[in-house]
Amino acid sequence: MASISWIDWLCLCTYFYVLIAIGLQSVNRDSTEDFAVAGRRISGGVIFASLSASFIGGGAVMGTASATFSDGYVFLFAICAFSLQTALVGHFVAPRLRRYPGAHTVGDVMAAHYGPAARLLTGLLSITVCAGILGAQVLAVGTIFHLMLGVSKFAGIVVGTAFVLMYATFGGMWSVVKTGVAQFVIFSVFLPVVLLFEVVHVGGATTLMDRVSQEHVSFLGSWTPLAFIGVFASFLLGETLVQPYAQRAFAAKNSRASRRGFLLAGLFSVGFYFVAASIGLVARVLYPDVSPDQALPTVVAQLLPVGISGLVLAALFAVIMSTADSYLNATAVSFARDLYVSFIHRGAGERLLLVVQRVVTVVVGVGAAFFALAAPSIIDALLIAYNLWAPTVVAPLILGVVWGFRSRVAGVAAIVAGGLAMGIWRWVLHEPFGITALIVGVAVNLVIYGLAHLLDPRADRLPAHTEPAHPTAAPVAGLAPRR
Amino acid sequence: MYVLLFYGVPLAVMAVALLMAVLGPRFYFKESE
Repeated sequence: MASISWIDWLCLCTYFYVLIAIGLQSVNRDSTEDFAVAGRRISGGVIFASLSASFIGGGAVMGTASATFSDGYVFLFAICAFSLQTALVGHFVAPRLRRYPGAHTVGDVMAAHYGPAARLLTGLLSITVCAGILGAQVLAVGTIFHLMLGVSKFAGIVVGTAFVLMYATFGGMWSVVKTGVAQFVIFSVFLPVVLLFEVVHVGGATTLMDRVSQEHVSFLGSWTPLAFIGVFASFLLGETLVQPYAQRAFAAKNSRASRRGFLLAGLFSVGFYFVAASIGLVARVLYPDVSPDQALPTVVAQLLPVGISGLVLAALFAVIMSTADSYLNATAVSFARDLYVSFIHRGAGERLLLVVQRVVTVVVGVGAAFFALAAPSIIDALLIAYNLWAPTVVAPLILGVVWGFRSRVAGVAAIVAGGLAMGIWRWVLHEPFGITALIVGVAVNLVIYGLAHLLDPRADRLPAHTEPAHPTAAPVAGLAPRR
Repeated sequence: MYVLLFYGVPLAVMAVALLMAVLGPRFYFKESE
C-alpha cells in the first residue's frame, strides 16, 4: 500500500505547491473584516465552491464509501439529508444573515436575539465543535500519509498542519476561500475518476448491478426505519449553520449570492455523495474481503494506474485540507469575536483583534497537531460537542433569523435544556426505545424555547425587514440592545 | 438507466468542477474582488 511511484509523488508535490501559491496570494489583507468574512465581497459561484470544499471532508468521502461498502445505498439516502439541509438553509436562512451587517459569527447573531449569555454559550460550543472537527481532519491527514505513502504519522501531521497554518494564519478567510475553490476543483475532478475506473473494471454499469446484492441497493438495506430516521435527522440538523458555513453566508456580497451559493452546494452535494457512496459499493463487489475502512485505500492502491493514483491522493488531501483550514479559521474568528472582544478585552481595537485571530490560528493549529499525535482522545472529547450543536443552537438561531424572535430567557433556557436533555438521553439513559438523543434534545430545545418565549414578558420580534440601506451602516450591536 | 447513473453522475460532477476551474478566476473572483 505504501509503494507509489515518483510520478505520484510529483503529482502530490505539485498539489502542495499550487495550494501554497494560491494561499499566499492574500497575505497582505489587513483587517478583521477580511480575515473573518473576506470583506463580504464573495460572489455566489465562489460561495458554492468554498462551502462545498468545507463541508466535503474526510468523513463525507471516506466515511460515506466505508458505510456504503458495509450497509449499501441506505447511507447515501440518509446523507442526502445534509444536501436537503444546505438547500433549505440557502433558501430560507442564509440570505437573511445579510441583515446582520457587522456579524462575523453565529454568536453575533445569537447575541442580537438572545443577549450576551447566549453569545457566550454559542461561542464556547462553536470553538469546541470547530476545534474537534479540525483535530479529526488533522488525524485523517496523518493517517493518509501513513497508510498510503508510507510516511510516519508524525511527519504527515506536521507537514499537513504546516501547510494549512502557513496560509490560514496570514491570509485568513481570503486564503481559505481561494484555496477552497482550487481544492474543490481538484477533488471534484479526480474522485469521480476513481468511480469510472471501478465501473469499467467491474465490466460496466449493468454487470455491476447484476453482481451487487439487492440489500445494498434497496432503500433501507438492513436498517430499521427508526435507525434510518435517526441518522437522517443527524445529517439534517447536526451541522446546520455551524460557524464555517455561517461565515460563508456572512461573506456573501449580497443575499442573492448567498442563496445561490448554498442552493448550488446542496444540489451538487447529492451528485458528489453518489460518487463517494458508489466508490464504496463497487469496492464491495471488487474486494469483498477487505474491511470497510480500507475500501477506498484498497481501490486507490490496487486499481488505479501510476499517475492517476497520485492525482487521487492529491484529491484526498484536498478534501481534508479544505475542511481543516475552514474550521481552523472558524475557531480563531469565534474565539476573537465571541470570547475575546465580548468578554475578555471589550475595548480591543481592530489591529489587536487581528493579532489575536492570527495567534489563535497558530495556537489552535499547533494544538490540533499535538493532540492528534499525543492524545487523540482529547479530539474525541472535543467531538462530543458536535452532538450538542443541533439540540442547543440550531432551533433558536433559525427562529431568530427567519421569524425575528427575541427573548434572552428563551434563548438561554432552550440552549441549556436542549443540551441537558441530549446529554441525559445519550449518556445516562443510553438512548432507550431506539430514539436518538439528537431528536430528543431538539424536541426539548423547541418546547422549552416556546414556553419560555410565551412566559417572558420582555420577549418580542425584530421587524421583518431590518436590512440597512447601506451594507456597512449598522454594526451588529445596533440590533442587539434590549429594553 | 444504470449507465446514465454510473457514468453520467461522475461526469456531471467533473463537468461542474471544470466549469468552476475555467470560470472561477475569470469571472467569480473578479466579481468577488
